[in-house]
Amino acid sequence: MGINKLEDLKWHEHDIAIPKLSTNQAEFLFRFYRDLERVRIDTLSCFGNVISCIQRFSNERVAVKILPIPQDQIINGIPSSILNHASILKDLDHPNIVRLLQVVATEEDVYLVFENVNLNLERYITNPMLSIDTLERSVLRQALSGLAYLHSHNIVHADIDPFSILFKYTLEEPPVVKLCGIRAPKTSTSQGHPSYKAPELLMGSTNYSTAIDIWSMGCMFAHIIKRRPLFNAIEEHRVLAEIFCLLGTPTEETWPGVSSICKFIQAFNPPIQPKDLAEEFPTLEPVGLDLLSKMLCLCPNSRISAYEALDHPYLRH
Amino acid sequence: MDSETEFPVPNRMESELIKEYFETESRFIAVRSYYQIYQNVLIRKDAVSIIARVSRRIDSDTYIPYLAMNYFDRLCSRNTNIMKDKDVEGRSAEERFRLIAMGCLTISAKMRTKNFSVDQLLSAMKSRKGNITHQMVKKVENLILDELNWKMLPVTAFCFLNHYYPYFKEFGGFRRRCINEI
Repeated sequence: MGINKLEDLKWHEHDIAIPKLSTNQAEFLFRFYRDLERVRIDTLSCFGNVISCIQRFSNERVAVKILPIPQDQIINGIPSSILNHASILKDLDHPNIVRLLQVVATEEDVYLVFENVNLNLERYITNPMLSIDTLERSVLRQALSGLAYLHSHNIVHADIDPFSILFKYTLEEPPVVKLCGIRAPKTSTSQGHPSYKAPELLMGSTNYSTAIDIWSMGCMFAHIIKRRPLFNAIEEHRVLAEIFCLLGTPTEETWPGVSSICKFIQAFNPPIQPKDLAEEFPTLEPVGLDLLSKMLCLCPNSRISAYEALDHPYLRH
Repeated sequence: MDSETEFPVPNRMESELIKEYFETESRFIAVRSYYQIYQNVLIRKDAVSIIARVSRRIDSDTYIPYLAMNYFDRLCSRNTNIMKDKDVEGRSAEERFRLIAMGCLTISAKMRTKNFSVDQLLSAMKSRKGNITHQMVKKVENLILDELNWKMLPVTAFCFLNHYYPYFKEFGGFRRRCINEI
């Protein structure tokens, strides 16, 4: 149970479960919302506080994200970055994308009010009470469907990890997957978790495309099957080493232009050979292995697109 | 160069997007009766003139005034009492409607230019009579955003250029470069 009154806030100053709010933010929130709880932010990409709370007038639980306006820009009103961010989110209308219900601007902050979701994928997988066994395909299909919608709007998510895939469920119906953490289109630089970053990003390429999201989604697919992350390292160069150990090193034949992105790639002579994915994923049927290998294709131009993946036999039936 | 290769058949992603544009386009157009009222036509004419004049001080991007007029039309056609709103300050109707036009323009400039500064624009305009302050712009900007429900990326005629290319071709057609320039 979260806190309900402004006066209670000072007793929780050192409690990490309670958001750190400015006076204006606290006054605004307690006027319109109750039962405030900070949403656990595990992803590196999230900016601003995300608070789960109940809207006083509707008694509906929502997630509020606070975007503070930088002090030096207050004179100019709402900054261009926040304006663009909110307009893009407001434009998106898809069952597998977390819905932005309302935007409220005050003198110092902009509040984005999202529909509430129950769990992120990481917690879903690790919770023994919730079975994901029968849902593997459905989760992947729904997440890819949301991603295809984003890509058709020319938006690269760039931060897909277990914390940006959320679940909304009721007792009667199977869970609905919702993608969150969407930022600006194409201009955004990826700050996502290294374990889910595409090889072209890990090699330092700045000229990336929607294919980076497919790679991350491939890592998610593997994560769901294995029940643990496919790549475990934290440092980027170690993740790259893990990728090469599993999928082999790329060559100019398998990835035209790779040596111009990554100078040291030619040092792997002879190149490392890829492992057999069937041995790595013994429980996954061959058609699933085929989709996984197409999503985890090292060369971004040959990687499957979100729409093609949705048409893949593994997801069609 | 063969112009067919410049405009390939749309893939599934592009087709889905065009379908969505057709479905949502009407939400980004002024309501039908708006242009039939003579007073609205006059106000609109003045707004075009203000936005065209002030936008020359901002950026050469011609989409900025176009976008501003889209906001202005949607706003005035959907809320006929907008001039009387407490957040629209001004001593006369003319001043109030000028402020709304300015608000539409500052929002469209922010949508298109990362480092646009309301402060610099207002300083450049200081010599003009009936000064507009930061506070007035901020209030009217928030009012416009709320009224338009923060839908500031409208579906406009430009979204359909690629889709309608085959039809243009019957009348002589355009080159890819022309479409990109538009």
